[in-house]
Amino acid sequence: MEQRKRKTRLQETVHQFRKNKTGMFGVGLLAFIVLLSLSAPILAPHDPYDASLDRRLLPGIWSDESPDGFFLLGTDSQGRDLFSRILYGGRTTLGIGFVALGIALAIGISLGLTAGYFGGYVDDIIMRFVDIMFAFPALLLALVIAGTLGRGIDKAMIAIGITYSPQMVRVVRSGVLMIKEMEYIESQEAIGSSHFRILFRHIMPNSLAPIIVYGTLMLATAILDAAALGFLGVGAQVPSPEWGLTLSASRQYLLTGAWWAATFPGVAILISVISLNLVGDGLRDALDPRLKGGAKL
Amino acid sequence: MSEKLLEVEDLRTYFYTDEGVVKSVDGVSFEIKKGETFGLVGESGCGKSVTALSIMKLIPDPPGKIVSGKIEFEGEDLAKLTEKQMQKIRGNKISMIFQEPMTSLDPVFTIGSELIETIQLHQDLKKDEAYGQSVEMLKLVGIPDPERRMKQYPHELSGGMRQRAMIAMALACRPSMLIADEPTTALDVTIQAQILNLMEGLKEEFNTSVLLITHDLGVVAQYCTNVAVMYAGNIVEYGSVYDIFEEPKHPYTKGLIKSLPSLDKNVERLEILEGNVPSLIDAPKGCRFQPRCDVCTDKCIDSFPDLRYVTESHMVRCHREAGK
Amino acid sequence: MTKLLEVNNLKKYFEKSMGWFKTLEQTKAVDDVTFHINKGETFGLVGESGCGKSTCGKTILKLYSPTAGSLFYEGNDITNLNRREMFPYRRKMTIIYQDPFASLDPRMTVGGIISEPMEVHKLHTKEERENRVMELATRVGLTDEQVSRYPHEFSGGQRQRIGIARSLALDPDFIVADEPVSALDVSIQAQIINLMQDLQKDMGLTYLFIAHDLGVVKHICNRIAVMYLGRIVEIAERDTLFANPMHPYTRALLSAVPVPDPRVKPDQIILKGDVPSPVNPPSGCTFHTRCPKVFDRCDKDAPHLTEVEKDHWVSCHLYG
Repeated sequence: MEQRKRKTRLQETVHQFRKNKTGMFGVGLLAFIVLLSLSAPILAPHDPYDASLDRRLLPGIWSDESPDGFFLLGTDSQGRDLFSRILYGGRTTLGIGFVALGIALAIGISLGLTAGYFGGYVDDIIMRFVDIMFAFPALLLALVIAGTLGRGIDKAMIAIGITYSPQMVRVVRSGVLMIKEMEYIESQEAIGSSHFRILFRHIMPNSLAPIIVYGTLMLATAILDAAALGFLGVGAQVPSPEWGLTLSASRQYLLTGAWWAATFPGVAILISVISLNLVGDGLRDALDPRLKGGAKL
Repeated sequence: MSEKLLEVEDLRTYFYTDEGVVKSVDGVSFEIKKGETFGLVGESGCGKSVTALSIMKLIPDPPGKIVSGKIEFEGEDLAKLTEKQMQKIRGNKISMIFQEPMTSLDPVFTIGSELIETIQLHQDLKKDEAYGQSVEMLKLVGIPDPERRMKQYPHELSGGMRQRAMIAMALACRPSMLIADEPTTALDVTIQAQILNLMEGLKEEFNTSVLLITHDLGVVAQYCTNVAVMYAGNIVEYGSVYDIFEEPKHPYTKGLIKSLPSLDKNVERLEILEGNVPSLIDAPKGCRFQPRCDVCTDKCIDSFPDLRYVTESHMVRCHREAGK
Repeated sequence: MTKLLEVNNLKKYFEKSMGWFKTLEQTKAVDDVTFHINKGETFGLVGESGCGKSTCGKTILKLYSPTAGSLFYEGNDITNLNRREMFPYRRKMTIIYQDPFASLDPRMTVGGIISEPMEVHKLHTKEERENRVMELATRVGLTDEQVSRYPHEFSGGQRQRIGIARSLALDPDFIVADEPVSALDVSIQAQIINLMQDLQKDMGLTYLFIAHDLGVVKHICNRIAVMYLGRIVEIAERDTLFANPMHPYTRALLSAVPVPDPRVKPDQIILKGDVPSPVNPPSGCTFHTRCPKVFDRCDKDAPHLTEVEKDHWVSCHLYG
């Protein structure tokens, strides 16, 4: 009798992922950032909106000129504590990214499943629509949508979500197409399962892998786009501590010496995106097809 | 013509994986004479393909490694050669064809360019000379309209044609030995008959020895001179094809032959071999076949049997049988 | 002997549109196939790759809709039944697949896979289903604790047993076995064949046994049909077919099987050329391009199945 340790595929995937050092590092980094952002109310030494013009553009604790009262990373052009703004800003920027991803997933999964499973005219119509959306550069599209909807964080979320849904539709659809051909799906027909059962009990769970990988990587770019929209003045509005917005507002001071005001928000964006990319890559390797069935020896 | 061409002595190829050391080939010895077809028979996982790849030094390292053993070919020990030296031998002195020609032929190259490349790699010929020789090879393997085929891509050919093209490539440089790893398993039985017949004919013409790896006992019986039966990384029985089929000694060989539903049999129920192939990581201490053997003794559980002669040409790895 | 299944002039063509101008490429996978299967027998459908045997089996189960022809199950015309109308028949007609790796949902436990048909047909209570799962698992040679494991933890032979247990879940009468042992090692093949024979005896099953391995077919089948390029070329009782094959293709097929006896060197009929594509089948008799006995009528008229001797049908101009 074959002796195999009893493992669900989830456990095997996790086990495989843990072996990937960079992936694990990415998870750690991501957890760190998310935790920091979530604990902003506890960790932030100052109110992010508390402005005081007599401490404008002063450096952080590395310099003697740092103002009293523990301004870790210095102050911005309104005299607000940069560190507190970054902590709170994380909730906004990351929040936009997550919600946008959620919207993209909702649209992507529903349309992708439909197009992939039913094929024919339905598939053609959905995919032509997707193709049209793809013709526009992503950021431009997000800008146009956000611009149309008006300014505000919620509009940014919707705009980015819609912009990313075509990509997600394609990912889901191709996953569905591949699974649909498998014999265990045909065997469902032979049993007499309904379309609903086949789609939700069998096709969807098996096509999750590419969705998870893509979703993670998509989150990274969504965050970048959230920051970009903020930077361009669409989306988050003053005085929100959103990272892109703070970056934009402080951009001009890079040359005049107060480099910290623009750099640290930029670094925050950078670290978030890198960590998500590392996690996404790690997941992709861990969910490699060689894990899916097939005797190893 | 009983000159020795290849002698494999105590070959061991292990794979180092996360789950442990997989001893795919664990002490395999055999010899192939000039002009003979030698059959290496066994089921999946027994180590026959790994043996072939070891001879060609095509084992991926990591995770695999030829741990020990001698592979003497035309006087040289292949185990000791460098990669560069092996490259001069592969495709030239020893060629290999595989089960699935679709994956072993590069889909972005035409048949012609692959053939010409093989020829030019080992022989000092100009392109048009190599072209001419390629067309000749295609004709030789029975591909009609060879000039047209030279310009075609693998996917444009049928399975049988692709296998013929593979054989053409393998024999282009007139190797002394051809290793055929399950060459007809993926083919229909009528095409299989064509291909095996072709290989027989070419073997005769070029005096090439063939190491034929297969799980199909029918193919072995019809085409091989000598046979080695492999199980869980070892050879368990070794002899001429008549020895193996008329006087099988090892319980595994006997079981295999009995469980075959062949055309010349008329039984109600097939005799079956109970159980499954053992893991190659935690091989049992004694005889590896013991868990499935219905005539095993206590000695079989504790000690690993050696390969012993039962007649001049016939060897078996079994405490019971060798003791007789 | 009652006829359980009747297949009349069945055709299944697949169409693929090529490019913008919608030129249809038609694959005649099953091209005018007629036979019947009696209750309790094992009917073999044999042929090489591309001959349409798998498509035929799946069309019989309405996994593909027939292009033409008719299908009768227990006297009922199921040819044009839609999905909902076929639902009750799904309990009586099931399938065992060739590929033990692709035919089981990797995300379900063995128990889940076996009990799913019962769930879909809303049979038994939860507890009854669990009991039945255990019963079936044991019946096919699996242990109790294996029921909570996942398909990837098993070997090919064991997975095939799971597939068989699944097909028995609804207590069917008719099973289409699509190359059930082709992907298995020789020593495991024998185990599965024996299992299928035992189950047939115990449960009164009727099999449509699709295979390319003539040795296996000879062992388990009562009657056999030989297919070539979408058409049936010969049907006969097992012993008759092997003792007296009449169609040139059947003869070539039988002679091509290597016999595991080095003293027996049969005269092999080596066919020339490759199997033609079912997209562009040859005119007249589809076998004429490779037939050693071809004559002038063969490329013009397609032959029909005629009863040449009792219960022995051949489709060849040599016989009328």
